Amino acid sequence: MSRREPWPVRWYRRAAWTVGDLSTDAADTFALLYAEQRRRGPAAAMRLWLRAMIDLVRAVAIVARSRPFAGLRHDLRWAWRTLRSRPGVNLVVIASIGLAIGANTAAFSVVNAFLWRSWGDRATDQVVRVREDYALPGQPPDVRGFRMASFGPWQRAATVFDAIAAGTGTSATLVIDGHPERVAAGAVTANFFDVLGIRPALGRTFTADEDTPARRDAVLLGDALWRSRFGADPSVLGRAVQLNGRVRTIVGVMPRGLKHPYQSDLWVPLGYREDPMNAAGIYVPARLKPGVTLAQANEEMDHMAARLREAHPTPDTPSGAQVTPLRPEMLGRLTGVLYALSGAALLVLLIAVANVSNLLLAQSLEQQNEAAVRAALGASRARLVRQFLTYGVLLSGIGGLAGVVLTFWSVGPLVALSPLYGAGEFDIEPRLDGLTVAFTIAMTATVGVAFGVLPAIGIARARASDVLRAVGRSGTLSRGSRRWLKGLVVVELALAFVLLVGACVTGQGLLALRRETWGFDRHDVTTFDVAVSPLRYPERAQQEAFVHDLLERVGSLPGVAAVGATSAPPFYAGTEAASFTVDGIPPPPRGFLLAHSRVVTPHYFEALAIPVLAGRSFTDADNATSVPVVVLSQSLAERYWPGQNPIGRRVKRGRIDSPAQWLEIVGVVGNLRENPDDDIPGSDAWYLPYRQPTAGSIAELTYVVKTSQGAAIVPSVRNAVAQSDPDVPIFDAVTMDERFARFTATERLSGNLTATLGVIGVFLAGVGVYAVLAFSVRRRLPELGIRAALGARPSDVRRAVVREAGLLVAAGVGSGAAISFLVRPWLDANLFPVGVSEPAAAVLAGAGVVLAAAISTIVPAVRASRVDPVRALTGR
Amino acid sequence: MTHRLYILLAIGDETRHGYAIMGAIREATSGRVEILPGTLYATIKTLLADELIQEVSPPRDADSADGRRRYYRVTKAGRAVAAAETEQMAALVKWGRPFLKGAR
Repeated sequence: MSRREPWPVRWYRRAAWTVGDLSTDAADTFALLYAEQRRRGPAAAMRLWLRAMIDLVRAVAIVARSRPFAGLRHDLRWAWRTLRSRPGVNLVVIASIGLAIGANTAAFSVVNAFLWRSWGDRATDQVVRVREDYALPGQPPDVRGFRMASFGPWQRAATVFDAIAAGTGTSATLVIDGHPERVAAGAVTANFFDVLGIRPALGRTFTADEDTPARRDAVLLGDALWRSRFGADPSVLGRAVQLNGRVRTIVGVMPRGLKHPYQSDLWVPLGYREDPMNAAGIYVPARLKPGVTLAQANEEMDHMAARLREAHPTPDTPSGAQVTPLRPEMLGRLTGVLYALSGAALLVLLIAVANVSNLLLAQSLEQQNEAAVRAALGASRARLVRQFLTYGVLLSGIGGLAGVVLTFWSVGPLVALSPLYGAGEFDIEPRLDGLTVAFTIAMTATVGVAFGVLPAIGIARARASDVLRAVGRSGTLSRGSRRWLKGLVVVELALAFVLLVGACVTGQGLLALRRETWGFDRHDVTTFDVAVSPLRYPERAQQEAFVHDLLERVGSLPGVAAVGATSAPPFYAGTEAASFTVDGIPPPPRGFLLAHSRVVTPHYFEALAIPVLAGRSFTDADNATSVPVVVLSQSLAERYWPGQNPIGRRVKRGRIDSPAQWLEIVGVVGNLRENPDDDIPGSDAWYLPYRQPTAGSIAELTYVVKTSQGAAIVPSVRNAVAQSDPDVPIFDAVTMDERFARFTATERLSGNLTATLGVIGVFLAGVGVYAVLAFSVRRRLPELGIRAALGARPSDVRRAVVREAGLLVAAGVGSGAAISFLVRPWLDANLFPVGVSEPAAAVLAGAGVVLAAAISTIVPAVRASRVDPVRALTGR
Repeated sequence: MTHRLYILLAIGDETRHGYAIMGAIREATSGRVEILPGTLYATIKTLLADELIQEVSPPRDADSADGRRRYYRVTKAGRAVAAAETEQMAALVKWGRPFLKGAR
């Protein structure tokens, strides 16, 4: 055909080839028809063209209907043959897919478990947390947790909620068969679990009758306790246990994973009694009425607050309320980390897809050239794509299965190892549920299709004549396809670089957390908690004597350098705060200041190596008969006495008019990094001596022991406690390093996962580099043979291969760096906010990618330099 | 009447290529039936797969342009199928004749 065909014929030809899998005869016949009609006029020709194009759709239907699986058997056979012909390459392919699909299934199942899965059998998105706002009109919000006193009025007045519940956490001594154990007990209203939408696994929750101050004789067990102490015996219902000396009946067992609120091991009824004087904090979850939005709820609550304020116009009445969704609150920073991880997993998948497509393209063309020859002979693109598709789906199916196995073998334990506060109070175990399975199947199918389509595009880029010419030479492909191969590898390297930057950033963040001093020395410190029952030690003096006795006993153990105790140790999960007033400083509008508050014993600062910067630490002489004293943190001292000596000044609990005694400041100690709390500025903290009643409760304290023996000291400590009182349990006996590990669980989880994903990504990219170089060396064998015959040294040949790898890596790292720069703000926001140097991360990541590429280059380079000229030139 | 039967009948005892088949159908039906290339070649494909027609080498008298085309011939099985379908239609026509009379 010397003359160019008119465009309708060209279009028809292309369409018939692409979609219809029809022989060229159809197009030739159309060309004749078109010529006939053209003679009658352009309108007739156009009508024919339109009808013929529509007719092609019918043609597709005819072929598909008559033999829907005509090619499938052939395609499957081809796929299987290809799969078996090079087991090595295909093992790499399947491993790549397995890793990538495994990583994504894992990420999805974790995201699903944390962010989406319902906690129980009712929608979790309707569950909110309510707080009170004490800001005066015209002031910024001053949002705080509920006070016990206001729960009753709110509960009666709130109209936007289906139900509003309350809960608080405490610890209690559980005695079963004479064996005491310290447990975290959630005290909750009868409707608490209804609000969360969680039903008991066994038995029932509390009745309204049981939830009265007079009764309080029922108890609900947590799953872990039920398993550990009752051997998962279903007949525990109705059994009696002793809790803090009170006999209670087990009415139910809650489902696995539930520890809400406050890491509860078991639950008791709150037995709420309205008391306008009770200022203790309380946690208030609620369930929105169906159809009520957050904004409506917030607005309605503010109206209600205004009415309450009219009825009780005191500064203690809140001016408003804040309603926030509960789940995001429980997750905290984890939400961002989870999305970042999903993104990272997706990058791994992209790398794997690019990688495997490359391997498939190179392999199929190189090995049999069947596809290329067929393409040249006029096999339709549809036909070729289908063939690759079958192969891709077969491979991704096998890989996907491997991936799923990998996921559930690894991710469950990984998450279980991370004692996450907040989020960890609900069932967060990743499971292979319907949604996850659907996701994995969809992903596997998409990946399979991508494997089919990418190589097909690669082939299509080659003109038929090129392919034939290339095939004539020893199994290689056109420049277009080669560029495609290399382009995919550059993409892989770039994505791997981005992943590694993410991993390095998280790694650096973790290192920064570890290196941070936190204001004390956490090494060689072992901690344990001991609580005395107020029933057994009703008087404060008795409790003081117990603590004193225990400190003496532990202090005299061999290897113990110092021992102290506190109500809230560093890395404490909650906040323990106190309101106070400074003598001579006018109070802010709300009437008081806030700081972290800790009861401590003498030698506490010494045991943790917290420096005493001014004045003195506490001694045993700071007792009920001496002047009430207080020690401040450096930040608190500098905030209220900048540049002055605060020693001898006075502060007191509560407002200026509170009946509390003034406390004399006797010392200033270094800052600890405290749990961030919106209400409390920085690391402001005050410390009170345990022997003064002004300090508050000392029934439960955490002991810190400076010793080089680590956890090995625990048995002797247990002995010492038993000598003081055999009925007092010791719990949570762990090293300070262990507490630190728990405290940084979120960071470690994200660190472990990003590191794993980074390594997988780089491994896959390395495989990609190898595939391309190996292919390229094979393609250039004749050329290399000629060079060798002409006297080129092996090192020259090696250098040529290394140069090719170098170009790929440079392009990959360059584009990777550009991508990293673009996503940097997002990484900053979601991963690590502290002490991370991005240039260092980029350098490390670059080094990682170069290393992987270098390793992948060795084999092809060596192979190239060992070319036998005779064999290469004769095409063997 | 199905496209398959049209094509079988259009080839008949001859050896024909696609364009000729189209022409034969148009001629036999006085232009009332037109099968466009897409449908034609898709149907030929199914006929080939079912072995009702077979591809044969071009006849000697074919000109050079026709030489590039594929030629088809009806197989034994194709004849049997065409015969069976035609018979069925004949029976149908016999059955429906009273309507033709009544219509007149």
